[in-house]
Amino acid sequence: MVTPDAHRLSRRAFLKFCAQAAALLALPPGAAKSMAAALARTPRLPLVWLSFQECTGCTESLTRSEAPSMERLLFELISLDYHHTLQAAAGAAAEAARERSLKEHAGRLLLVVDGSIPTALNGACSTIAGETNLSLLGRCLAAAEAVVAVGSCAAFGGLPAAAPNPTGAMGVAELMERDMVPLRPLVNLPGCPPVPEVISAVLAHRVAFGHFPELDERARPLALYGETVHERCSRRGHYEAGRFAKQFDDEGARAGWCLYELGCKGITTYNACAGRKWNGGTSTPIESGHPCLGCSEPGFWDHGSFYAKAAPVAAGATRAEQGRALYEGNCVYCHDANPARLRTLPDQVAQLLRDNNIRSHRFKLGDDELAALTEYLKEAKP
Amino acid sequence: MIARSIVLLLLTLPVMAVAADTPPPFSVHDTDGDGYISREEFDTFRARRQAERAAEGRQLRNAPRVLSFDEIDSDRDGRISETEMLEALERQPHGQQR
Repeated sequence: MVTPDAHRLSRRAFLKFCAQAAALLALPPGAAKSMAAALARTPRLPLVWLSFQECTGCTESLTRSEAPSMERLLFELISLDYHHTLQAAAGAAAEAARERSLKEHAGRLLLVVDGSIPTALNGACSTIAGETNLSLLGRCLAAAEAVVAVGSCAAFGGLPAAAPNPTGAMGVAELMERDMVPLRPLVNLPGCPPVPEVISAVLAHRVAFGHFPELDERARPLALYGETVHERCSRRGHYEAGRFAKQFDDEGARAGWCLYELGCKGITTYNACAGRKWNGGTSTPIESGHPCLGCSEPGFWDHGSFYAKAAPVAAGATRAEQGRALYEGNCVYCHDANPARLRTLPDQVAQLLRDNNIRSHRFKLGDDELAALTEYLKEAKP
Repeated sequence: MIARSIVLLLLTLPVMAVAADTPPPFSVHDTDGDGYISREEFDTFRARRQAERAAEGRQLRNAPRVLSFDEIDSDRDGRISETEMLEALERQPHGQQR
């Protein structure tokens, strides 16, 4: 068993890391302390890191995290048994180390994947030591307890899967859905690359508490991907006030105005950038003057030009989502916030509102809005 | 039609006015049924809203901003009347996205 001790990492640095990780994951007060206690007595977690069709950016992100040096800390928490960019071993010795770990830790090792997996031509587009990525992933998943897909390529296919996707690249989730690899609990940490502390905080949570933080419908940790970049953007005030830069060198751009009209995708992008920031909390792409590319969203490479104005949220939303916005923006002030508990039947709502007979319903909604509201209510109250 | 209206009225207004000069309640959040939403009643509503969203795990995601008490209480008498609520809702664009 290896535990953090004075010879490897100072107590202060260790506690600081735990506090940061707990805060990033939005854990309740006191969690940092219990996380530190758990980490100090937990044996290192055996971890195999597989890199497939990728650019090494995700590994770069992890290793370039700030003090307390994340990679050093991670070596106290995890036993990185295989990582073909970072490990000292090469060739047959490297492969042997991985195989030994798969055998010794079968059923309890944690698999981390970055890069997408090619499926065209029987997977021949990318091989490691003569074995296709698909085959290697399948074997490692069979021995794994869970898998973390780091980066947009591993999560959603990313750049290699962009149209026309010549290698038939897929993310881990899609392969599992298609029954092409064994099914295991999955955590997606998309981003190109993901924020470094996002990777380390999720791994620390797994080691300390034995499970992953709460996930959303795309298997992303809610605490890290629950808000759009826009929601915490430092230029948000300018957006609200309608002050938009029109060109990269105009007066508005120099004054730090909102970059929405220059193509910023922050409004539709769920990521931890704005909250956690990059380079040890220094800045974000938007803060340094460039629009958000939306790199953590599925298919971001195929969503048109990075510099084309993003569609407004409402236009991209489904009808039911528009209906929800209407309900939450109007109805909840007088009716139950849970639409399932609304006493009027969904089919009757539009007519009642059109009739204009009911007190408090004298504001006008258009036919489209009424249809969206009805659809939302039907979904909530079938 | 009249019968249906009465039924609807009964359904939507579970607490009826207790005195002739008390306006009928217009909101389920008017828990004491005095025809107005007090600051405490509004705070309870807001807090519940936030908790429900947090539990659903989509804290404020694409959700319209909840108006504040002071934005609605335009005559500053410390309570929200039906008219004030109507006016506040009319002032904001419907289905407003943040």
